[in-house]
Amino acid sequence: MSGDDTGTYAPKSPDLSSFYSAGPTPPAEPAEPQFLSQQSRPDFSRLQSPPRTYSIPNPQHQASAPQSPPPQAFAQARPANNPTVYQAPGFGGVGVGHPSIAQHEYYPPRAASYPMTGYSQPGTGYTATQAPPPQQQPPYYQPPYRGGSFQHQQYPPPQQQQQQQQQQQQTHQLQHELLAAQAQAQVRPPYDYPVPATEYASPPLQAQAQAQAQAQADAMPPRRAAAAAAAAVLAAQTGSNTEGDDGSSSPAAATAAAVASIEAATVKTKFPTARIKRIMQADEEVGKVAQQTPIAVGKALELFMVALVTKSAEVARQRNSKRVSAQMLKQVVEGDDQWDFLRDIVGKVEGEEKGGKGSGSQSQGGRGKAESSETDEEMGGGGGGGDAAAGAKKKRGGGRKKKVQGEKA
Amino acid sequence: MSDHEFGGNDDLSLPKATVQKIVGEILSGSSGIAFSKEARDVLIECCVEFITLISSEANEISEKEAKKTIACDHIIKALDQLGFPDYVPAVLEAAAEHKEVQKGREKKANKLEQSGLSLEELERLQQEQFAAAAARHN
Repeated sequence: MSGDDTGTYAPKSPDLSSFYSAGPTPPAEPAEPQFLSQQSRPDFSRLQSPPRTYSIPNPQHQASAPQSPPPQAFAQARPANNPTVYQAPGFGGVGVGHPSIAQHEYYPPRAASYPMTGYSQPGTGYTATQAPPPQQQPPYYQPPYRGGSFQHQQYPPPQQQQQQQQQQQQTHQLQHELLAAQAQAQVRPPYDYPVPATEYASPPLQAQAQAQAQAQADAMPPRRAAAAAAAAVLAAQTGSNTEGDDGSSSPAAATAAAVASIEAATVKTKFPTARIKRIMQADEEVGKVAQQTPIAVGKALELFMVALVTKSAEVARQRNSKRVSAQMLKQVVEGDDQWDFLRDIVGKVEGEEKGGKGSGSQSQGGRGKAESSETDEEMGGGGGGGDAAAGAKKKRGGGRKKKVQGEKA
Repeated sequence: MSDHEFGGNDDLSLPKATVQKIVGEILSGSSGIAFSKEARDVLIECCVEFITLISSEANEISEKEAKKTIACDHIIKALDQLGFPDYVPAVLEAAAEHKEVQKGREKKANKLEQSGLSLEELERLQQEQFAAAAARHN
């Protein structure tokens, strides 16, 4: 079973470390896991067969024809194919000081031209197997210079980026730029270079537009920013237009998102069905309950709570309060006939909660006595079932006061 | 059984933490507003009252229909009669959803079956890739 499992997942996540080690040497005596990693290797070989051709001759070309590819052509082409996002890790890697990462940076166009999403892993594997020659390392180790330029590169328009990169690359032209240019020159034809070039020209603009949009609306949620970015890609150069569109469409989107969040939030937590069932069966008349029933009741209870809580929150907002008090809840319940069955419970609010009135029927009885001793007309109204609900509020208020008086007396 | 009887008051209300959590989720849209403890306790009482109301109404309905068990239908009718007809669609939906979940629980997905390949096919695939790897290095 476990062997089957690994067999299924091995191609998805190639073990690159073993790939490095096994790369130069033929698969002589690999253990079980190494077989699995090899199993994934053919994917690389198919993809990487063109890179392999130039990875070997590169040093020779460098020695024999140092100036053959025009460096400026490469420098112009490269920024267009390198989104700013991508450059950041590359240069950061240089700062850390790993030459292989830096070298990998010069092959993103090739990697980008691959349609496969998982290609980045083979890409790193490729640079690692290419094992940078020692004489190339010194130019890569220039943290102060690179670091400064890296910070500048974050947001400038593409033209400036090109210039900066030209400057940078001119410093190490002789070494790796030629190498990289040659590699690209070789790679370009088989991988349809122009198509990704146009695609990758947009991300810098997108980043710009996004930055502008975010600068205009600081509190913009990420979803809106993404939408703005998408719009910016469509009409990258008319920044004002997209921002206008964004501004007009944003309120609806925001409210929709808020509504969606409320809807989603209420569904998350469920009441324990066992507890609901127990509460239902606390009524002795209630006998058996179907399995589905507590769930239906739980859902109804949820909707009931949503209604009650949102309304009381509205009351709190109207009163400029951040806390929903029991009084507010009472106000809500008493404001709607739908909830007249709650008036008994809510009637205990305002201090009398602690007074320890037990269940509704008991308290009603107690109140009835209090009223009967003091006011007869309210007692008459309270006797009828239908009237009880309507007159409940007054009755309760009056009853409570009277009771307090009675206790004092 | 005796637990039911004596668990009594405490058990016959809803768990405070759960209620608090749900209240928080409901109020998460309207920022900054919280529920006071007193309000939450009253809310819990209201919820219990609501359950009692619904179940006693449903019980009456089921008795009228000469049923011994309170079914989902009775709850829905009770909601309708008690002035909560707007809850009915969502409750029906939740009940149906629960039914589906119960069904789906029966068959647990197997990773091997999900791959859609037999053991032989998988083995053959592995051998092919081994061969390709060997060819590449020779």
